Amino acid sequence: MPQWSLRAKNGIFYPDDITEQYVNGRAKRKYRFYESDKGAQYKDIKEFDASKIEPQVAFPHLPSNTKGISDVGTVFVDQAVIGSCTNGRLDDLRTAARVLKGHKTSSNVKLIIIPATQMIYRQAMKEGLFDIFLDAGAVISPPTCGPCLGGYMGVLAKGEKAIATTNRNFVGRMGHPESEVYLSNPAVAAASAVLGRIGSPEELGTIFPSP
Amino acid sequence: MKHKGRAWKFGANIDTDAIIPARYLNVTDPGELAQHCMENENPQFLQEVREGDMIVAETNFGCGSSREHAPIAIKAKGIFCVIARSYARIFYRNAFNMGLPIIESNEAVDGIQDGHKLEVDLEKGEIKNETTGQTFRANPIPPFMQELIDDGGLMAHIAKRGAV
Repeated sequence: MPQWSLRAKNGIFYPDDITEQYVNGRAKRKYRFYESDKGAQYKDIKEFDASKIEPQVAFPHLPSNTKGISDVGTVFVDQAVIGSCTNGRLDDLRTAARVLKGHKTSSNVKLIIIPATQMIYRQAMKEGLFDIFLDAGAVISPPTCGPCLGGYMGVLAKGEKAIATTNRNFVGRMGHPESEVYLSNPAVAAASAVLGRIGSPEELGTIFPSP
Repeated sequence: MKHKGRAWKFGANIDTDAIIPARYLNVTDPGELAQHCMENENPQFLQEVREGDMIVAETNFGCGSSREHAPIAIKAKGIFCVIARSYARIFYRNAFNMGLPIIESNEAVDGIQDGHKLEVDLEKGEIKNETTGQTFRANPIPPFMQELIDDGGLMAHIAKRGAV
Protein backbone atom coordinates (compact mmCIF):
# COMPACT_ATOMS: atom_id res chain seq x y z
CA MET A 1 0.00 0.00 0.00
CA PRO A 2 1.24 3.52 -0.63
CA GLN A 3 3.26 4.92 2.19
CA TRP A 4 2.48 8.07 4.09
CA SER A 5 -0.96 7.39 5.53
CA LEU A 6 -0.01 7.27 9.17
CA ARG A 7 1.46 9.93 11.34
CA ALA A 8 4.57 9.16 13.32
CA LYS A 9 7.22 11.32 14.87
CA ASN A 10 10.07 8.97 14.22
CA GLY A 11 10.65 5.57 12.67
CA ILE A 12 13.64 3.40 13.43
CA PHE A 13 14.02 0.12 11.60
CA TYR A 14 16.53 -2.61 11.86
CA PRO A 15 18.47 -2.46 8.58
CA ASP A 16 17.81 -5.51 6.43
CA ASP A 17 19.51 -6.77 3.27
CA ILE A 18 17.49 -4.39 1.10
CA THR A 19 18.69 -1.46 3.19
CA GLU A 20 22.27 -2.63 2.87
CA GLN A 21 21.87 -2.97 -0.89
CA TYR A 22 20.59 0.58 -1.02
CA VAL A 23 23.31 2.06 1.15
CA ASN A 24 26.10 0.15 -0.53
CA GLY A 25 27.48 2.30 -3.31
CA ARG A 26 25.50 5.36 -2.21
CA ALA A 27 27.09 6.08 1.14
CA LYS A 28 30.03 8.43 0.80
CA ARG A 29 31.40 7.53 4.22
CA LYS A 30 31.97 4.27 5.98
CA TYR A 31 28.73 3.19 7.55
CA ARG A 32 27.84 1.05 10.48
CA PHE A 33 24.59 -0.70 11.32
CA TYR A 34 23.45 -0.49 14.89
CA GLU A 35 21.29 -3.06 16.57
CA SER A 36 19.54 -3.31 19.91
CA ASP A 37 21.33 -4.96 22.81
CA LYS A 38 20.43 -8.57 23.29
CA GLY A 39 17.75 -8.71 25.96
CA ALA A 40 16.97 -4.99 25.62
CA GLN A 41 13.93 -3.90 27.60
CA TYR A 42 11.30 -1.74 25.92
CA LYS A 43 9.14 0.79 27.68
CA ASP A 44 6.10 -0.23 25.71
CA ILE A 45 5.29 -2.52 22.82
CA LYS A 46 2.32 -1.85 20.56
CA GLU A 47 1.39 -3.90 17.54
CA PHE A 48 -0.63 -2.58 14.63
CA ASP A 49 -2.00 -4.39 11.62
CA ALA A 50 -1.44 -1.77 8.93
CA SER A 51 -3.49 -3.78 6.45
CA LYS A 52 -6.59 -3.04 8.53
CA ILE A 53 -6.13 0.74 8.49
CA GLU A 54 -7.79 2.45 5.54
CA PRO A 55 -6.01 5.37 3.82
CA GLN A 56 -6.16 8.51 5.92
CA VAL A 57 -6.75 12.07 4.79
CA ALA A 58 -5.56 14.97 6.95
CA PHE A 59 -8.05 17.82 6.93
CA PRO A 60 -7.05 21.46 7.35
CA HIS A 61 -5.16 22.71 9.22
CA LEU A 62 -3.23 20.03 11.09
CA PRO A 63 -1.51 16.85 9.85
CA SER A 64 -3.00 14.97 12.80
CA ASN A 65 -6.56 16.05 11.91
CA THR A 66 -7.28 12.85 10.00
CA LYS A 67 -10.29 10.96 8.71
CA GLY A 68 -10.44 7.60 6.99
CA ILE A 69 -11.06 7.92 3.25
CA SER A 70 -14.55 6.48 3.64
CA ASP A 71 -15.48 9.30 6.04
CA VAL A 72 -14.20 12.19 3.94
CA GLY A 73 -17.53 13.13 2.31
CA THR A 74 -17.56 15.42 -0.71
CA VAL A 75 -14.53 17.70 -0.88
CA PHE A 76 -13.88 19.24 -4.30
CA VAL A 77 -10.27 20.08 -5.09
CA ASP A 78 -8.62 22.54 -7.46
CA GLN A 79 -5.18 21.04 -7.31
CA ALA A 80 -3.42 17.78 -6.59
CA VAL A 81 0.28 17.58 -5.72
CA ILE A 82 2.04 14.24 -5.77
CA GLY A 83 5.61 14.04 -4.54
CA SER A 84 8.02 16.58 -3.04
CA CYS A 85 10.52 15.44 -0.41
CA THR A 86 7.62 13.49 1.08
CA ASN A 87 6.06 10.68 -0.94
CA GLY A 88 8.16 11.45 -4.01
CA ARG A 89 9.90 8.09 -4.13
CA LEU A 90 9.93 5.92 -7.21
CA ASP A 91 7.41 3.59 -5.54
CA ASP A 92 5.10 6.53 -4.92
CA LEU A 93 5.30 7.60 -8.55
CA ARG A 94 4.62 4.03 -9.68
CA THR A 95 1.60 3.97 -7.41
CA ALA A 96 0.33 7.26 -8.83
CA ALA A 97 0.92 6.02 -12.38
CA ARG A 98 -1.01 2.85 -11.68
CA VAL A 99 -4.02 4.89 -10.62
CA LEU A 100 -3.71 7.48 -13.41
CA LYS A 101 -3.12 5.09 -16.29
CA GLY A 102 -5.90 5.40 -18.84
CA HIS A 103 -7.48 8.36 -17.04
CA LYS A 104 -7.50 12.12 -17.47
CA THR A 105 -7.37 14.57 -14.63
CA SER A 106 -10.62 16.43 -14.01
CA SER A 107 -10.87 19.66 -16.00
CA ASN A 108 -11.15 21.48 -12.67
CA VAL A 109 -7.90 20.13 -11.27
CA LYS A 110 -4.28 20.86 -12.02
CA LEU A 111 -2.07 17.93 -11.15
CA ILE A 112 1.57 18.59 -10.30
CA ILE A 113 3.99 15.72 -9.93
CA ILE A 114 7.30 16.28 -8.16
CA PRO A 115 9.85 13.45 -8.08
CA ALA A 116 11.88 13.74 -4.89
CA THR A 117 15.32 13.64 -6.53
CA GLN A 118 17.02 13.92 -9.92
CA MET A 119 17.78 10.19 -9.77
CA ILE A 120 14.13 9.32 -9.20
CA TYR A 121 13.16 11.79 -11.92
CA ARG A 122 15.39 9.98 -14.41
CA GLN A 123 14.26 6.52 -13.32
CA ALA A 124 10.61 7.49 -13.56
CA MET A 125 11.23 8.86 -17.04
CA LYS A 126 13.01 5.68 -18.14
CA GLU A 127 10.21 3.51 -16.83
CA GLY A 128 7.70 5.41 -18.89
CA LEU A 129 5.84 6.86 -15.93
CA PHE A 130 6.09 10.34 -17.42
CA ASP A 131 4.10 9.23 -20.45
CA ILE A 132 1.30 8.11 -18.17
CA PHE A 133 1.46 11.38 -16.23
CA LEU A 134 1.51 13.52 -19.37
CA ASP A 135 -1.34 11.53 -20.95
CA ALA A 136 -3.34 12.18 -17.80
CA GLY A 137 -2.69 15.91 -18.14
CA ALA A 138 -0.21 16.32 -15.31
CA VAL A 139 2.58 18.85 -15.01
CA ILE A 140 5.90 17.23 -14.13
CA SER A 141 8.14 19.40 -12.04
CA PRO A 142 11.82 19.10 -11.25
CA PRO A 143 12.51 18.14 -7.61
CA THR A 144 11.56 21.17 -5.57
CA CYS A 145 9.78 22.48 -2.50
CA GLY A 146 7.66 24.61 -4.87
CA PRO A 147 3.99 24.47 -3.95
CA CYS A 148 4.45 22.64 -0.63
CA LEU A 149 5.11 25.90 1.18
CA GLY A 150 3.47 28.23 -1.30
CA GLY A 151 6.81 29.02 -2.90
CA TYR A 152 5.94 28.98 -6.58
CA MET A 153 4.02 26.93 -9.14
CA GLY A 154 0.71 25.82 -7.72
CA VAL A 155 0.39 28.58 -5.13
CA LEU A 156 -3.25 28.44 -4.04
CA ALA A 157 -5.58 31.41 -4.43
CA LYS A 158 -8.19 32.46 -1.89
CA GLY A 159 -10.72 29.69 -1.35
CA GLU A 160 -8.86 27.07 -3.40
CA LYS A 161 -8.38 23.54 -2.10
CA ALA A 162 -5.57 21.12 -2.76
CA ILE A 163 -4.96 17.50 -2.00
CA ALA A 164 -1.27 16.88 -1.54
CA THR A 165 1.12 14.16 -0.51
CA THR A 166 3.34 16.76 1.12
CA ASN A 167 3.60 16.76 4.88
CA ARG A 168 2.04 19.92 6.25
CA ASN A 169 -1.33 21.63 5.88
CA PHE A 170 -1.25 24.60 8.20
CA VAL A 171 -3.15 27.83 7.52
CA GLY A 172 -1.78 29.44 4.36
CA ARG A 173 0.79 26.72 3.88
CA MET A 174 0.29 26.46 0.11
CA GLY A 175 -0.63 30.06 -0.57
CA HIS A 176 -3.52 32.27 0.50
CA PRO A 177 -4.42 32.09 4.20
CA GLU A 178 -7.99 31.21 3.16
CA SER A 179 -6.95 28.28 0.97
CA GLU A 180 -7.02 24.70 2.24
CA VAL A 181 -4.64 21.75 2.03
CA TYR A 182 -5.68 18.13 2.54
CA LEU A 183 -2.95 15.51 2.91
CA SER A 184 -3.11 11.97 1.62
CA ASN A 185 -1.05 9.18 0.14
CA PRO A 186 -0.15 9.22 -3.59
CA ALA A 187 -2.90 6.78 -4.63
CA VAL A 188 -5.64 8.89 -3.06
CA ALA A 189 -4.14 12.11 -4.45
CA ALA A 190 -3.97 10.60 -7.95
CA ALA A 191 -7.55 9.32 -7.77
CA SER A 192 -8.72 12.71 -6.46
CA ALA A 193 -7.06 14.47 -9.41
CA VAL A 194 -9.17 12.37 -11.77
CA LEU A 195 -12.39 12.53 -9.76
CA GLY A 196 -12.17 16.27 -9.07
CA ARG A 197 -12.89 15.58 -5.42
CA ILE A 198 -11.15 13.64 -2.70
CA GLY A 199 -11.72 9.97 -3.42
CA SER A 200 -10.31 6.51 -3.34
CA PRO A 201 -8.47 4.72 -6.17
CA GLU A 202 -11.04 1.96 -5.83
CA GLU A 203 -13.60 4.33 -7.30
CA LEU A 204 -11.53 4.18 -10.48
CA GLY A 205 -11.18 0.44 -10.28
CA THR A 206 -7.63 0.33 -8.94
CA ILE A 207 -7.30 -2.03 -6.01
CA PHE A 208 -4.33 -2.08 -3.62
CA PRO A 209 -2.26 -4.01 -2.80
CA SER A 210 -1.46 -5.44 -6.20
CA PRO A 211 -3.16 -8.77 -6.77
CA MET B 1 16.49 38.71 36.92
CA LYS B 2 12.87 39.81 36.86
CA HIS B 3 11.12 41.01 33.79
CA LYS B 4 7.75 42.71 33.29
CA GLY B 5 5.49 42.69 30.26
CA ARG B 6 1.97 42.09 28.96
CA ALA B 7 0.53 38.72 27.94
CA TRP B 8 -0.63 37.88 24.42
CA LYS B 9 -2.76 34.75 24.54
CA PHE B 10 -2.65 32.18 21.72
CA GLY B 11 -4.36 28.82 21.21
CA ALA B 12 -3.08 25.29 20.67
CA ASN B 13 -0.90 24.04 17.81
CA ILE B 14 0.43 27.45 16.79
CA ASP B 15 2.56 26.26 13.86
CA THR B 16 5.62 27.77 12.30
CA ASP B 17 3.59 28.93 9.26
CA ALA B 18 1.43 30.92 11.66
CA ILE B 19 4.47 32.35 13.43
CA ILE B 20 6.18 33.34 10.20
CA PRO B 21 4.44 32.43 6.91
CA ALA B 22 6.59 30.49 4.45
CA ARG B 23 6.42 33.26 1.87
CA TYR B 24 8.91 35.23 3.97
CA LEU B 25 11.50 32.48 4.28
CA ASN B 26 13.72 34.18 1.72
CA VAL B 27 14.11 37.00 4.23
CA THR B 28 17.14 36.84 6.50
CA ASP B 29 16.85 40.21 8.23
CA PRO B 30 15.34 39.62 11.71
CA GLY B 31 13.72 43.07 11.73
CA GLU B 32 11.94 42.36 8.48
CA LEU B 33 10.83 38.92 9.67
CA ALA B 34 9.41 40.56 12.80
CA GLN B 35 7.11 42.71 10.64
CA HIS B 36 5.24 39.54 9.62
CA CYS B 37 5.28 37.61 12.90
CA MET B 38 1.79 36.08 13.46
CA GLU B 39 0.34 38.30 10.72
CA ASN B 40 -2.34 35.78 9.70
CA GLU B 41 -2.88 34.42 13.19
CA ASN B 42 -3.45 37.68 15.02
CA PRO B 43 -3.04 40.96 13.10
CA GLN B 44 -3.68 42.93 16.29
CA PHE B 45 -0.60 41.34 17.86
CA LEU B 46 1.45 42.51 14.93
CA GLN B 47 0.21 46.08 15.34
CA GLU B 48 0.14 46.47 19.10
CA VAL B 49 2.79 44.23 20.64
CA ARG B 50 5.32 46.14 22.71
CA GLU B 51 8.96 45.44 23.46
CA GLY B 52 9.13 43.03 26.39
CA ASP B 53 5.61 41.55 26.00
CA MET B 54 5.16 37.80 26.32
CA ILE B 55 3.37 35.11 24.36
CA VAL B 56 1.21 32.71 26.39
CA ALA B 57 -0.02 29.69 24.45
CA GLU B 58 -1.68 26.32 24.81
CA THR B 59 -0.12 22.97 23.78
CA ASN B 60 2.32 22.11 20.99
CA PHE B 61 3.49 25.66 20.31
CA GLY B 62 5.83 25.87 17.30
CA CYS B 63 4.77 22.67 15.54
CA GLY B 64 5.62 22.30 11.87
CA SER B 65 8.82 23.17 10.10
CA SER B 66 12.22 23.35 11.72
CA ARG B 67 12.68 26.87 10.38
CA GLU B 68 14.75 28.98 12.75
CA HIS B 69 12.97 31.99 11.26
CA ALA B 70 10.15 31.30 13.74
CA PRO B 71 12.01 31.96 17.00
CA ILE B 72 14.02 34.69 15.25
CA ALA B 73 10.82 36.50 14.23
CA ILE B 74 9.36 36.23 17.74
CA LYS B 75 12.56 37.46 19.35
CA ALA B 76 13.01 40.29 16.86
CA LYS B 77 9.41 41.34 17.49
CA GLY B 78 10.56 42.14 21.02
CA ILE B 79 8.90 39.24 22.80
CA PHE B 80 10.75 38.55 26.05
CA CYS B 81 9.71 34.93 26.41
CA VAL B 82 7.07 32.39 25.46
CA ILE B 83 5.04 30.56 28.11
CA ALA B 84 3.10 27.49 26.93
CA ARG B 85 1.77 24.16 28.14
CA SER B 86 4.10 22.37 25.74
CA TYR B 87 6.26 22.89 22.65
CA ALA B 88 6.97 20.99 19.48
CA ARG B 89 10.39 19.56 20.11
CA ILE B 90 12.25 21.10 17.17
CA PHE B 91 10.94 24.53 18.02
CA TYR B 92 11.92 24.04 21.65
CA ARG B 93 15.57 23.57 20.86
CA ASN B 94 15.50 26.07 18.01
CA ALA B 95 14.27 28.74 20.39
CA PHE B 96 17.19 28.22 22.74
CA ASN B 97 19.62 28.06 19.85
CA MET B 98 18.33 31.45 18.73
CA GLY B 99 18.41 32.88 22.25
CA LEU B 100 14.65 33.06 22.83
CA PRO B 101 13.66 31.91 26.35
CA ILE B 102 10.64 29.61 26.47
CA ILE B 103 9.07 28.04 29.52
CA GLU B 104 6.45 25.41 30.25
CA SER B 105 3.74 25.93 32.83
CA ASN B 106 0.19 24.58 32.81
CA GLU B 107 -0.89 26.65 35.79
CA ALA B 108 0.38 29.87 34.25
CA VAL B 109 -1.52 29.21 31.02
CA ASP B 110 -4.64 28.46 33.09
CA GLY B 111 -4.32 31.65 35.10
CA ILE B 112 -3.31 34.21 32.48
CA GLN B 113 -5.66 36.04 30.11
CA ASP B 114 -4.92 38.24 27.14
CA GLY B 115 -3.55 41.60 28.26
CA HIS B 116 -2.67 40.57 31.83
CA LYS B 117 0.48 42.13 33.25
CA LEU B 118 3.16 39.61 34.12
CA GLU B 119 6.42 39.51 35.98
CA VAL B 120 8.70 36.62 35.08
CA ASP B 121 11.80 35.35 36.84
CA LEU B 122 13.41 32.87 34.48
CA GLU B 123 16.09 31.64 36.86
CA LYS B 124 13.62 30.84 39.61
CA GLY B 125 11.00 29.61 37.18
CA GLU B 126 8.46 31.99 38.65
CA ILE B 127 5.64 33.75 36.81
CA LYS B 128 3.63 36.39 38.63
CA ASN B 129 0.34 37.64 37.26
CA GLU B 130 0.30 41.25 38.50
CA THR B 131 -3.25 41.72 37.25
CA THR B 132 -4.67 38.96 39.44
CA GLY B 133 -1.95 38.66 42.06
CA GLN B 134 -1.44 34.95 41.41
CA THR B 135 1.99 33.35 41.22
CA PHE B 136 2.78 30.30 39.10
CA ARG B 137 5.64 27.84 38.96
CA ALA B 138 7.41 26.81 35.81
CA ASN B 139 10.23 24.36 35.41
CA PRO B 140 13.42 26.41 35.73
CA ILE B 141 15.45 26.53 32.53
CA PRO B 142 18.26 23.93 32.78
CA PRO B 143 21.68 25.58 33.41
CA PHE B 144 23.12 24.64 30.01
CA MET B 145 20.07 26.00 28.19
CA GLN B 146 20.28 29.15 30.29
CA GLU B 147 23.89 29.55 29.16
CA LEU B 148 22.72 29.47 25.55
CA ILE B 149 20.22 32.23 26.30
CA ASP B 150 22.77 34.32 28.21
CA ASP B 151 25.28 34.02 25.38
CA GLY B 152 22.66 35.05 22.82
CA GLY B 153 22.09 31.67 21.21
CA LEU B 154 23.99 28.59 20.09
CA MET B 155 26.30 30.21 17.53
CA ALA B 156 27.32 32.97 19.93
CA HIS B 157 27.77 30.37 22.66
CA ILE B 158 30.13 28.30 20.53
CA ALA B 159 32.01 31.37 19.31
CA LYS B 160 32.48 32.51 22.89
CA ARG B 161 34.18 29.23 23.67
CA GLY B 162 36.57 29.70 20.79
CA ALA B 163 35.32 26.74 18.79
CA VAL B 164 34.68 28.71 15.62
